[in-house]
Amino acid sequence: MEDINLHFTGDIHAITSANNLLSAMIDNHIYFGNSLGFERVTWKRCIDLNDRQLRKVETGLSNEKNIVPREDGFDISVASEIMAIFCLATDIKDLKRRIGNIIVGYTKKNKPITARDLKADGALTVLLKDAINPNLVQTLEKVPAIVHGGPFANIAHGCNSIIATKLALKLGDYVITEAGFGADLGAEKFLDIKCRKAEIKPDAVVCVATIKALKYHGGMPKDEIKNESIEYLERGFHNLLKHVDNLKNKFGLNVIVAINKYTHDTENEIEFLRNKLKEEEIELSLVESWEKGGDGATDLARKVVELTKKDSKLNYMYDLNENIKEKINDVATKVYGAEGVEFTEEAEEQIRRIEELGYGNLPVCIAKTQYSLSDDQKNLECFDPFKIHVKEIILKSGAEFVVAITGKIMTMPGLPRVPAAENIDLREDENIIGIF
Amino acid sequence: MGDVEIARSTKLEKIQNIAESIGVTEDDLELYGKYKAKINLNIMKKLKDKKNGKLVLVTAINPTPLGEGKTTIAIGLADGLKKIGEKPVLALREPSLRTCIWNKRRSNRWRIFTNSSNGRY
Repeated sequence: MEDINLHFTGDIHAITSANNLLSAMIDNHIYFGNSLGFERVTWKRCIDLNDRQLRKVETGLSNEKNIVPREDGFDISVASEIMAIFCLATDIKDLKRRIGNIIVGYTKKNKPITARDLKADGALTVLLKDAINPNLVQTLEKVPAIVHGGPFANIAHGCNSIIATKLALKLGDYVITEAGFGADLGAEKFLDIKCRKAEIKPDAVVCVATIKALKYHGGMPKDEIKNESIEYLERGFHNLLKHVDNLKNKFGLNVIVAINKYTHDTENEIEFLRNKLKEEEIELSLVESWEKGGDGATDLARKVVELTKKDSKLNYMYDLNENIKEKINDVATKVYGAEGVEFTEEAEEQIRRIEELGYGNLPVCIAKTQYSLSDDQKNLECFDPFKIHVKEIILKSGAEFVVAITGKIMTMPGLPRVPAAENIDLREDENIIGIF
Repeated sequence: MGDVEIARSTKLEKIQNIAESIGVTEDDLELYGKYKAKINLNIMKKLKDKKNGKLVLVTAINPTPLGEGKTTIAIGLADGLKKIGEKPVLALREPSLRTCIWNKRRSNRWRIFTNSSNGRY
């Protein structure tokens, strides 16, 4: 277990090295005369640690001849475009092609400079050639688990690699996969970005909720959350219903709701949910696998098997040929339930430039708070009409999507006041303590 | 008992045996110790004509500070499918080193030989 939590098979280290080799080659190119004409470097360095001190740094301060000081910054490795590419590449050739397409900076005339221009694509691919093979581990009940790739779910698409999913589909009769955050971010990107690229579609979708989380969405104070309350549950049910409605009626998929059961959930609350979902013709399964392992999820397993036998289709929320604004608008109105999208002038200008460069047909990856359907993380209930506000657009030409930033998005987190690292240690018997 | 202790106290299968249960032979495996391996992608050529399994996506409502348990359910579902005699395979994200030095809001009894995702991305 601690193996997976620590260095595992070194994939993320390989991604970090590839990312930073590209940085080194950019600065080296500038050092030796900058024949490509870098005016602006957009590529950042990365490290797989929470280190807020590195968000913005100045590099090249040694005062030596030809070393040009410049402003730089670090992202956490999983936020690197290399990670997104790693997870969306369909094979090693595609990986190399995408790496070559990464835009690392711009000339004075705003012409993009790519990793291929720097002749970096071959070496980066070599650094990733072992990492691209999916990792196999097992659950405590000896079910094979392919664990591979893990990009951010806001500025990237938040799913394991396409390569791993496609391999798993060849090896198992049922492949269980997940997408980051809630269905508005994770599932939407899984479907509109990953499934579209991989040409796959889910035969069933499990939407997970807990009764206490639903009550929290309904506005119940955290310290009262264990008390029975149909009133708060009913208010919070709105959130579950929106996601389930999207998955079933908009994407066209087979959906079941799984309630991760806690001991303080009451019969009344469960019955209320069951009846509410029945009105929508959605089944519910109570899952107790947290306590009982696989035995606590056999009901869900049986229902999922039945569900996958039903026909389903996958409707994408937008067509790739739509322009960027239309695509963002489609996701915001259909999936989030927004009444529209407002773009800042800066975002409008960025969209214009990206479309001019010929990238207007890429899918959109919206970076929004995960806590709300809206872009306001405090607006949990979303009962009143709301708009989505796009502040910035970032082109990820290697990952092949366009990121729409709607709020403050952290690509280099910090540690909390008391980091878990303070409690991690190696005991005398060489067992590790402090890792969950 | 914490998650790590549960994981340690469970007798794990050698990874070659897990691989064999889904038709992956040692020729296609690169071992990383006893319980981890990489599957060489060349295997895809051999599997080209094999029919795909069914794909099940596990997603959730908007996350709250209370945690919903998406990964717990994904793993539970896979274990549950095995219990009823099916042949499941999980496809999950790999964790970042940062998750272990993050603070945990609550201890989760994970029934899997993998990470926990609270505070993840």
